[in-house]
Amino acid sequence: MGYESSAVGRAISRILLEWLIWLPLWIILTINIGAMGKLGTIAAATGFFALGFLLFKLSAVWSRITVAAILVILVAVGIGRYTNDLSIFLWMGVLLWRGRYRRLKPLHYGLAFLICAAAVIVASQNDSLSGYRLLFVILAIVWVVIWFISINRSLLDEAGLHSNIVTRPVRLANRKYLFIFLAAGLLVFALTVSYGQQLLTPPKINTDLLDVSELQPPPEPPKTQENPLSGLLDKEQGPPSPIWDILFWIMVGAAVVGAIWFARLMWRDRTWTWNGMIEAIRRWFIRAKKMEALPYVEEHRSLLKEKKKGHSRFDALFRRHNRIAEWERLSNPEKVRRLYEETVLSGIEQGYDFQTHHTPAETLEGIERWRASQRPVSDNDKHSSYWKWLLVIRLSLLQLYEKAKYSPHSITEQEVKELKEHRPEGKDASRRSP
Amino acid sequence: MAVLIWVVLMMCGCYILQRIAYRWFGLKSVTYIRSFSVPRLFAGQTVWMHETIANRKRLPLPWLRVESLLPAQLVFKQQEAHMSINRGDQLQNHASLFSIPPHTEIVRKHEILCPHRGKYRILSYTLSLGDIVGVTSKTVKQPADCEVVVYPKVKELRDFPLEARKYLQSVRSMNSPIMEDHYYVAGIRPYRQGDSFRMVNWNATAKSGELLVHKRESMQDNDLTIILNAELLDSAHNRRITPEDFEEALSYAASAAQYVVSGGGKAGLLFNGIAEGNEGMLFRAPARAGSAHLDLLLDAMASFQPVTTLGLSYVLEQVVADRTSGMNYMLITGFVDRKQEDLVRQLRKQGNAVELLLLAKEVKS
Repeated sequence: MGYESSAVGRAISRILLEWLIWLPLWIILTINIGAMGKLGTIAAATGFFALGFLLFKLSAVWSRITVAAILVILVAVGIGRYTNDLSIFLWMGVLLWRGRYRRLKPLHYGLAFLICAAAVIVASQNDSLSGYRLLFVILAIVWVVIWFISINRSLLDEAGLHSNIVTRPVRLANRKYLFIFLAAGLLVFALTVSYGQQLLTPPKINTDLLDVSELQPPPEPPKTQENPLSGLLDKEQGPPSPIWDILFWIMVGAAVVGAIWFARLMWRDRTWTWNGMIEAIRRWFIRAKKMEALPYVEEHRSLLKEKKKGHSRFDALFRRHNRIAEWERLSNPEKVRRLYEETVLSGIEQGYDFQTHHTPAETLEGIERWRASQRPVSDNDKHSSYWKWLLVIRLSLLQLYEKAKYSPHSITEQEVKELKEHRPEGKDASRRSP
Repeated sequence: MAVLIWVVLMMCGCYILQRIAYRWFGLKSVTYIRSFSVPRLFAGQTVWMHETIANRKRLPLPWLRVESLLPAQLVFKQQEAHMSINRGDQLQNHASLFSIPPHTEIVRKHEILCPHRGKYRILSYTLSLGDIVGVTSKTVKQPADCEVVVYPKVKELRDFPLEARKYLQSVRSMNSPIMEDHYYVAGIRPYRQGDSFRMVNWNATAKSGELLVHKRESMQDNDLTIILNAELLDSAHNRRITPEDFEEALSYAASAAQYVVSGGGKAGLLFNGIAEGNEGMLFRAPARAGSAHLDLLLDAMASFQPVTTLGLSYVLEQVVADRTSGMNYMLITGFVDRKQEDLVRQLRKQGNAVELLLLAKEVKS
């Protein structure tokens, strides 16, 4: 019972969605028809789609043959009897054919958007439809959003290998990012629309320069061929019969009686009470959020705290200031150790083969020897001042470094200052410490 | 019309830009680690497989799929509807999908049952990244180093056949007066029938009024050498055992080793099948004590295959040729033939204790 009701519900919602897809076309096609005609068209459209829906439950061959036959009849009647309304008949045929699609896919939402976009263009060129233009625009926006959501959903299913791998949080997160993308796209569009319109609108041709007298008048349109069946069909049309009115009122009466009978049955077999309904509504409002049952345990952790401050590209603008502050925060032994570290790193960067088993004395001596074995230091060399400074302070740097690392004695600020006194302020020297 | 075209152009431009951004920077600062909660466990136990994925940048990852090939012997305890698992005979394809915000780490834990022993490795995984619209943007394959070792199932002592159980108990306790032949005295104990009067501690007996004897250190360690036969088929007598029976034999061997080592004894192992890192040779682990040695034995057993590299008769001949005495052997095999029985008898004659644990007999009983 539950399955049947859900199937009926799905079918009804599918019919409603189909009607919404074709709403702009219905408005355009029935703009010159009266209220009863509009309602009749809706009923016919719904009926044809429902018929198509049912027909495609038959076997493939029978459903196709039946649909093709009905399509031929529709076109024939449209051409023969209602030539002016042929488009409506064709539309009915399309609806009948679309009954094969039980589920809507992204392409169908795209079709809905295209119909709305076409309707906007038609409405902008037709005064009688200008009142509907806003409605078409709103519908187009709604359909484009639904279209993107549907595309995103199908892409996610593809990403999840079509095996229910996509959890609700993942789906929601993706939808959020999609909306951000759409909002960003629309923002860019809004900012550039005037420029784009100017760019894409073709320049106007100055028609004053053209000689109108030289233009040939357009040829007369050929006379429309009369429908050979029209006379026959007209003959069949007689004065309206009162039987139809009687039948209509009989049907209305039967429908009212049926509705009352159904309501009476519902009331008799009711299992609900007013208190029960109120309780159900109350429960719905205070319901707890249903957690998705996952077959695994998932934990989320923010890594923002781990992110080192002052190392992003934005902070690079203030790096000079930070570097000075950082240097000032160091203690005297730490400053000496920093200078030693930079000396070794500079040597390594320029090609010195660092040996991990060397002592600091051996390392500094090795750097000096390696530097001497390189080409002689010229004044034009961008590192020359740095290496000259290093030659001068090497021994004192070594002594202070060993004191900082191995000795319990403290290092005075004066000693650090003396060490750093003649340090050049070039690129190399200022790379790490101020 | 121009506006419509401009909308389409702008959206296409934005789409291409974000796609380029995701292709270039999507997998930057993304780390994925797969690990097991315990590296070693016994068959029948469960383990948690951890998937740790971290996105250490400002760009969010709308979806990221991780696919890997897992051994088919690992069974996901919760039948995961949210995971794509396609099982084959040897391997199963496992995929999980994440959506990772900026600077976020996600740890996903799956409970896995390991019903069969073995060494299970995950050698690589594939990361696929989707862009902001949802289209697949980039796919990379990365190496992985993730392993779990499943030891053979360990039985309770009561699950052993009666004779084997008694033998194991005697090996572990070693309170036989025959074995108490060391000249170091470890203490005193009550007199038991069969004790020599030379062993009586008269002073202690006089003080306590009860007949007490010297308790001596055992001359022999309570060690056990397990000989595990890899032969599944005895073609001469048309007898065979199934691979399941071999697993049972391994389980007996592992249980016996654990029982002896946990009691302070020593355990050794001889195996005539294929073992990892020991292909084509006899696997020989001398009797040693300690949990590290037990882990070594169990680790080796996890990789044993019932493919014979040396016949059991040759193995027993080698053992007989070693001329050991006072050793305890436990031979776990599906069947023994006449020649092997003779060799066992020879071993016993040399002063060793040999217990046979026949699997085929087990099946009959």
